[in-house]
Amino acid sequence: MKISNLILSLIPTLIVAALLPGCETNSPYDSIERRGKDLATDTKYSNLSVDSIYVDGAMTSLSGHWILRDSSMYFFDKYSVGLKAFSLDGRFLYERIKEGRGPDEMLSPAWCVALDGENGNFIVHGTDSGMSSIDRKFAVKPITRTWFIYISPKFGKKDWVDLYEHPDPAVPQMYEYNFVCNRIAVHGNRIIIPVITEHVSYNGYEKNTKDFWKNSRIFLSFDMDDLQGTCKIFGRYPPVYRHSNIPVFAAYDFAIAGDEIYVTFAADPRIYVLDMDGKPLYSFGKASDRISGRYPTTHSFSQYEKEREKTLGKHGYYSRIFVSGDTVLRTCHTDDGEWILQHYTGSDYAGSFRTGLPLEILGKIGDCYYAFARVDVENERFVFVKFKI
Amino acid sequence: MIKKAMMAAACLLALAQGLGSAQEMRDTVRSAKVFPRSMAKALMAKAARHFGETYAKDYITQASFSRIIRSKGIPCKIYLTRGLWLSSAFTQNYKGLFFDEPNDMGRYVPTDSFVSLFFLPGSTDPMDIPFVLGQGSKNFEAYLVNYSESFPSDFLWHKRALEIWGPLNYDMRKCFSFRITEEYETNGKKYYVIGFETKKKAFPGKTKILTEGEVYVSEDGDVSRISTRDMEDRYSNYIRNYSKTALTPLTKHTYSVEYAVRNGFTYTSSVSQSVRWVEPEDKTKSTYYQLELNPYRNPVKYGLSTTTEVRFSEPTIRNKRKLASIEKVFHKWHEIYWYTPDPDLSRWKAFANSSPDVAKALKALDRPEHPLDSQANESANSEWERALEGRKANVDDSKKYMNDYQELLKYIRHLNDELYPTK
Repeated sequence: MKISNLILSLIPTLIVAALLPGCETNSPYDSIERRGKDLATDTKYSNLSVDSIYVDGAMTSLSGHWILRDSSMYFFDKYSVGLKAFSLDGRFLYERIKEGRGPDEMLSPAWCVALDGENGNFIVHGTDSGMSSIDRKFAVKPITRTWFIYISPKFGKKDWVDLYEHPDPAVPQMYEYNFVCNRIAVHGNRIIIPVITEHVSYNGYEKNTKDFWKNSRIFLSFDMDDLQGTCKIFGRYPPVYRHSNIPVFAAYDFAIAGDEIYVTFAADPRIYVLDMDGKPLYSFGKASDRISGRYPTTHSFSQYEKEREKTLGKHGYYSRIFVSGDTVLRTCHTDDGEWILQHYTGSDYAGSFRTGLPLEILGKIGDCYYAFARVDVENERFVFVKFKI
Repeated sequence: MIKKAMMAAACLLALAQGLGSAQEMRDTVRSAKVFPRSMAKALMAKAARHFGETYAKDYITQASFSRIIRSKGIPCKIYLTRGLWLSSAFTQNYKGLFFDEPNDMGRYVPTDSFVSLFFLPGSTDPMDIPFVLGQGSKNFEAYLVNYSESFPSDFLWHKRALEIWGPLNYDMRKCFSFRITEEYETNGKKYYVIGFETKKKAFPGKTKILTEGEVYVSEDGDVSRISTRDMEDRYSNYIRNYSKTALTPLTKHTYSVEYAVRNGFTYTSSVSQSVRWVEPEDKTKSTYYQLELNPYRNPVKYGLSTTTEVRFSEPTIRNKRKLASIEKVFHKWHEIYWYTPDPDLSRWKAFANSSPDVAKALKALDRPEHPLDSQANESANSEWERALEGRKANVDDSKKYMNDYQELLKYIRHLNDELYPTK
């Protein structure tokens, strides 16, 4: 063999060897156990029972957050202070909480609400970014005013100008509520908020900030009675976000079950399970064969803004997650524009079925799951579905 | 001979249409007169040059706003406010971007106002959700859900667009076609009504407004009125749409500005706008055009319409230094335009005597469960509560804020009485 031929034959090997270190993502998700097997059969959901429930929304803004508690559905209007209660068949029951400073009053409408599973209190994230709890007697107790301002003293070594010039993803002041996730959660005395950086140059929109996907955190949490002393940020984006810049598919959703946080990301078929400190424990989840996972790269914020809606409509992705006991349900948007629901038992994939709409599952009462389906704008009503698996 | 025949034909036509008075017949005869287009162009050029040269600036004036929101013709809400308007650059001469223009709504401070609650027809409960914004993208569904029933701050921006990009700007004449539609005589002086229309090729490249309307000018070039129909104003709205053709309209509207001349200065005496919402022919577009945000969701279903008007008093010209010192005070309070604490309703009931529409609206909105007096206080107080909460973190700061505002109100009312003493 000639020397030149030998060199030529070695080139592919050398290239692979050179690229190998680059394949390591150095992600906290790299070494975790992958669980789950496929138990799906095609006939499993032929006896699925689905009913529609209609709720009159004439005296609401048609925009807000729904919570299922006991045998009532509660609506927190995004544009009007207070909550409205409805029965499970959609009848209006009563409304509580007025605008004001009194014991059963609030100053701002709710952006997002969580149910405290231990005592049934509502934890409200207001449009003024303050937080309050509402107990079962509808007494309002303020938790904090604008949380992203009140976390500052503990991290006060870096002021706004420092962070502006030298963005640091390890500093909580960098973050704000992540509206795309539209969810908060409570675990014991702790509030968990999805967050994203608000920095003009350290964000996921510009292609040259790949470091953002590696180092930025996705959750902020604090104890209700000691915001400054217990505030911390945790959780990372999985490695799939480092391969190409895809902020259009950066949404994630989460659910808390026991002492674990289940997180699903739009662009990743895996569901990651973290402990309450954000340490990844294991993952599971089946990639839908109707979601290719090939997403167009975004190069700038203006491109993101211009093309987001169109791009989301044209591609498949994973959306909302719901966990109840051993059952995990996840909504998915397919490449051909359909909405399906994936069903898992524990970590095992049990199957999927078509829902037609992006369901937001609120809870389970008896054998029935209750899910918000859509706003019927023309008739000014909310449409829910009730289904049994 | 031909002229006599035309007059006779026009008289017959007028009679056939049932026009009764001699005045109406005379006007009809005059409007039948044909004027050469060159005369219209020459008159418009003269008027535009004169308008630019005599346009008043650097003045203070008293402004009285009224706005009525109706659903299926029935009043849902009324805004009434009166105050001082500081017009440091209220002129067609500003060439920058519209949102950089120093004359924004921040140069208005009310001395007195009344804002009613919002009632949909048939409802005894007032709506407590003043706006829903940012729901989805700017597609048709967003138009069904989003709304804002607050006072539209862009109401006067359209006047600026009309003056900068319309036929009253001498440099913009080539973007419009003109024809004289009417000639009439008052106090021995001839007046002309000049119809204008944006040339299709000029929009949106050379002019930012697409419209048709009329300009009323005297034979010596004084402009007394400009009115437009269904104007698409690409200058005043934050529309991120660079379509080279007209957008699909969601509103039918008229927009008029009246001018008066005093001591050689042309100043704005009133602006009025009338809007109603219509079903678009094509509901699949990603962007539509509407002159203002709809005041309630699904505006066609609810038959929504609005009328908005401002009347300005004769201006008081001040030198720039004096204006600058007043402007400092005005600018500090730009957040609160339409609400004064403890509104005095009796003054507005007196104002209604000069405006049948306002009188009708006040009557319709005076509900047994919510009399106007309590509405006045309720709307003003809730707005003040929001203003105080939004700005200040503790009670002491709120008190200071309110005290500062009371000082401002005292100052503005004193200035108002000095400039416009009650006769």
